[in-house]
Amino acid sequence: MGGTRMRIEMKSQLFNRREFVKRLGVSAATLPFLTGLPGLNASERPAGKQRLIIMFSPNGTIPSEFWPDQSGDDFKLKRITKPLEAFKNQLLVLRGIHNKVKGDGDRHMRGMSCLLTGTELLPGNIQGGSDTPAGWASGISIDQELKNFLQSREETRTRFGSLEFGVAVPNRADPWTRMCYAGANQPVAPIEDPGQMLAKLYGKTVDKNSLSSILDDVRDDLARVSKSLGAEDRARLEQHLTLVREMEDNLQRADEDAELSHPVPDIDPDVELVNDNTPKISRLQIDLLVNAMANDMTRIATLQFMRSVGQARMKWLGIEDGHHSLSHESDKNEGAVEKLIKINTWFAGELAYLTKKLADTPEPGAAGSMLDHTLVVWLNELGKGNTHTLTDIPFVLVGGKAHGIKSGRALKLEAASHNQLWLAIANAMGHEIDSFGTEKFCKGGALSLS
Amino acid sequence: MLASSNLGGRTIRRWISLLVFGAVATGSFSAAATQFEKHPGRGIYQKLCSECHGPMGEAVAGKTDDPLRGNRDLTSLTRRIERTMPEDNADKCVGEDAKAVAGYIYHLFYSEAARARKTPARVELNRLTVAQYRNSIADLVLGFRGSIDIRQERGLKGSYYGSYRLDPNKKGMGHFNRVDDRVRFDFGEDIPGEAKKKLGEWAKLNDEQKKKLKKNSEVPGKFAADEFAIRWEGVLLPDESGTHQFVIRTRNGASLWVNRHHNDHEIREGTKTIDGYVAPGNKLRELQAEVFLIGGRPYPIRLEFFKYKGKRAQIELLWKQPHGVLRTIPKRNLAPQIIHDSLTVAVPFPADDRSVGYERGSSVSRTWLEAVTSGASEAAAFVVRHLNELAGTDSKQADREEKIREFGRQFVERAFRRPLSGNEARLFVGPHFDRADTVEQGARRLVLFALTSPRFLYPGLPHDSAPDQWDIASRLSLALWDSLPDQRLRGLVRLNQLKTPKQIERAAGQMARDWRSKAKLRGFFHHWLELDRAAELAKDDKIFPEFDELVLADLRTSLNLFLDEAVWGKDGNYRQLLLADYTFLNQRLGKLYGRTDLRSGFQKVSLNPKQRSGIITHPLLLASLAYHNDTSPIHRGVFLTRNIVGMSLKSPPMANEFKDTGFDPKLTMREKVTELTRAKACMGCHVTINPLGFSLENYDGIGRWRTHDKNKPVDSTSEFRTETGTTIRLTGARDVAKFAADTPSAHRAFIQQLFHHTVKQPVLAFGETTMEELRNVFQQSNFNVPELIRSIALKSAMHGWNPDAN
Repeated sequence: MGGTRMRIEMKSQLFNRREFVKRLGVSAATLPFLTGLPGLNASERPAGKQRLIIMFSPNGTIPSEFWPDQSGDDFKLKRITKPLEAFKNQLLVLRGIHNKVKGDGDRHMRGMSCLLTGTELLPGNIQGGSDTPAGWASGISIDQELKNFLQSREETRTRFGSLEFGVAVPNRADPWTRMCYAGANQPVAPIEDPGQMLAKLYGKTVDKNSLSSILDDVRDDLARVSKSLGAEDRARLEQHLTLVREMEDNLQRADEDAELSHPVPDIDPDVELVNDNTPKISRLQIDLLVNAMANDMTRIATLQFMRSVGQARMKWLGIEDGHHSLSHESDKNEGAVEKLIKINTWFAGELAYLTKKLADTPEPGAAGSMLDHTLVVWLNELGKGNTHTLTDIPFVLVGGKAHGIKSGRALKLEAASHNQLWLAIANAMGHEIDSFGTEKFCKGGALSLS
Repeated sequence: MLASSNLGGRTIRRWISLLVFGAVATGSFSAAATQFEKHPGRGIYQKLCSECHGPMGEAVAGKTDDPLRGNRDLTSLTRRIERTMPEDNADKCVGEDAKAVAGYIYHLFYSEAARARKTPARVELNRLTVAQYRNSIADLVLGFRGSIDIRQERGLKGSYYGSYRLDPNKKGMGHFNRVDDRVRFDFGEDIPGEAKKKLGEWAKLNDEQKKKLKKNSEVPGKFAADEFAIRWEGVLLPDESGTHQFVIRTRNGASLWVNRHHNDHEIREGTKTIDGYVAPGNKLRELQAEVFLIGGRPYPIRLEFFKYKGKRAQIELLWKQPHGVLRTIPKRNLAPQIIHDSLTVAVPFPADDRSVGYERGSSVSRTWLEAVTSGASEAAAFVVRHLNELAGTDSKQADREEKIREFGRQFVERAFRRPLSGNEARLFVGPHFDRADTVEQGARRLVLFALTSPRFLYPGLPHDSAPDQWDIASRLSLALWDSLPDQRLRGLVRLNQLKTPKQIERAAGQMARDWRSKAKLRGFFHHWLELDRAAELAKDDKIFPEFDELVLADLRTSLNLFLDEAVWGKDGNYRQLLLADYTFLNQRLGKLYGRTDLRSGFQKVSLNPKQRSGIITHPLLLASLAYHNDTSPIHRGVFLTRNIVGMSLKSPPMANEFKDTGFDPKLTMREKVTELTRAKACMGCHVTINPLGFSLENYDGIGRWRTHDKNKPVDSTSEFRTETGTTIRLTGARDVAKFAADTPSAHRAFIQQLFHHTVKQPVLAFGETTMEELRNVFQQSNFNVPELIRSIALKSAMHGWNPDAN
């Protein structure tokens, strides 16, 4: 695209200018304000990448509509996991995994803050619905552990190491809202605003789009007001005008130079962060997540829907009640059970969207799809909502061929601890540890997933 | 004095008056130049002087370094020539000859007026300075929410709750409000002392009385050590612009919001400045965050604290201001009222040009444009985030887009400081929305456009018509506030009430009392006193072990308090600034500066008038104008000459570094400086610098009073030759201060510096008589500084003003 020529030709044509701005905006990411660009040419990276995505949804599941009746490789999906039907061969459904961590904090708190850490909460000042008050988790979470591991090696190091996405996570920090920990007492906050995530990933591209749309207005106006000035004052404005032209040229050159292997997703950064926009926000975040991984900005990501004890009102499913209140209803309340099935099915649908996106994107620089190189773990802080159980937590693994995961199976395990699962995943990604979290929960060693 | 009995003298004087009238009448340099051809001094100058100085005093390379320009008056210039010129034989040009040649050069090229005639000073088209840019954006957005008026009361509003949930309606739990001076509490294992007192009071009340209390939002009830909470909220009043560090020191749950919206919903959902809600293990911890703030601007602040089950309760709110140290935020920087947040653009900017002695927006660069653009982006993001609130609408309203477009129009108008014509509105507002996919995107682009537009960035841009009331409003707010017109000022223009000089004067008078004016004036004093050099002041540990960063930070506070009192206090004026026999000290400073009788906190302290005199003896100034291990009469003398007494100095003819080691160690500082500057080439200026500098020799390198230097009594007396040629005897600081307080040249220097700081244009651009008019006003107002800044603002506002045309 010939910069200056383009500008002159399109000056007064609204349609063309919009088109021009749009094209300009797509990857105007190499502006002076921007530093630390993502790997521009992903095909140069070595093959055999392994990625991990952990997706969280809260308040337990409805076991009868979640767990398949069969085990082994011949199993039927129940209502909740039905949206994943197309990827059944990519699934590994794991029943019988328990969160065995005891100590301070109610079960929601431990369910959440011990989920990825596999270790106890510190004593603190936060009182739950029962038990003793507690503080933050006392250890690192598995995603951050693996991030540190991957970042420690040249061949697996990426710009961010890990990205923490949130969807409708309330902006407050307590043991119910945080599952990622950089270490004891160091919760990592998810980013729940797609606009903020976009800015983090692709700099101020959004502003650049807006900027390029107004620069010729500014330029025209500078020329207009200069006319009435004396020579000395005019010289100052002309200098200003030259600088504006330079900035405009830089924007255009950025468009020509920067070729991300996957362009910045075209998303609305101004989406309002309200409950009713949750479905839209979810898709934006998933798009950004897959995009960031396609551009190899990170190999570890978490995607956290709401929070433990979250009260999302899923009006888009025709449900007015808060999610957590519903989860307390008795199994005999068929209406509530039906709603909870719908809610959990919706989460499965979001997982299916993520899976499809990964499956549809060819793995950069290698054969197969991104899904082959990505292991997605869907989990929950509770097994069952109304009993607040930390047993039989609904774990579903998707993809992960490159991790050696043998999928297309439903397994029934004998009271395994979730620490053992984290060990297995760490080992599968080359991180040869034999203990993670509290040591006693690692007894029996890593689960066998192959 | 000047002999006037001979013919020559009369001729010269007649000629001068002719020249002055002639010049004013024609306003033309060439017309005046022809008259110089007949000037009696011309021949002498050509014969004796122009060989080195050049025909127009421009200096001949290799013969003399500096052009013949200066601020001496005619008498002083004559005496100087008599005494020193020509250099090889000072007796060659004396008496009438000296007078004639002085008159010739004075009026042809030496004096400021002569220079101004040659290259007439003019009001330049300048961009906003960095401070003006930041303030304008903050006030522009603030204007859509209301205004801020800060009352006298200081401290923070504290709301105490018997429940950890900060809920006054929690059943059975006590609740009361009070004003706390600061947040620094160690409650130990107990409840707050104030809560204890309340429990005592409540126990004596009957039900009827208890009910009454509830009307004052006080709820008698339980307070127990296992659970309670406190919310502190109010206003933060920062002294300096820059990055401020905030620290919470606590064992319990605590969250801090600085410059966040006061609306309850938003404060819960919005981002906390510090999130310490979760408190592990009841251990004492420090949480910190940094926030960029503009000095003098009020910001909302809020701290929520709760104790739950942990053993001990403790909370402290501290900050570190730029040039400060980490300390509990003191009472004087807090006010117990609720105000709006201010959009404060934190983007770093390149420093403004100061090459002419004051900051002005005279240069544009790529870095500057990028900063402006980033700042506009920051503002655009803020506006979009608060779009419904600013546009007075919400997501459900059918006319939301209409309201947002109307907001957009007003935003552009206020940014451009004048109403938009129909055509302008069509150009500057609509298209941003029309081209955008969403109304938010439209608003984002509109803000970005408005804040990068020349009409915002160059407030002096001319328009089609003569200056009108909008220009008056814009110039006043720029001069007095470094900002743009507020709601009230715009209202006056709309009502056609910024038209007569009286109306304009009244408006300026009100504006001069606003917090923005105070902030701007404080900036001026920091500039005038060259406090830049005090920012990183370090002293020799062995000689001044007490002078640590705590003392330095305290001195800065002390100086600010003194300036506030001497300028804004009941008897405050320019003479007070110089002659006051009081200052502000706390215990730490008192101990170091010889006052051990002080209570804690800063207090106004009377001083021995024989030892201290106003600003020129303030220890911070004295310490900053000194070497790390000793005094510096040269630094102090140069400062006093230029900034206080108002005489000009040339740059030194040779770089002559002061090396302490080169002297006999038994010499006093005065003896060393006398020795060092003995050369004739030095004495041209040091004849002025040294006496002024020596008069401060009673203050050591950190500004303490001393009577001895190197075991010899300090000699602070000297003969000082004034600009008018009289010689006065100075015995110490107070004599210098008195001289400046009584001398027109000192007044002029002060007025000129304040003018330049305020208007950011050369004073001569506003007419040759402006300085004398301002000096009269200053004198008639008994040297009232706010009155002076008001008069300066009026001068700049009414430039080219024709009330009949409006």
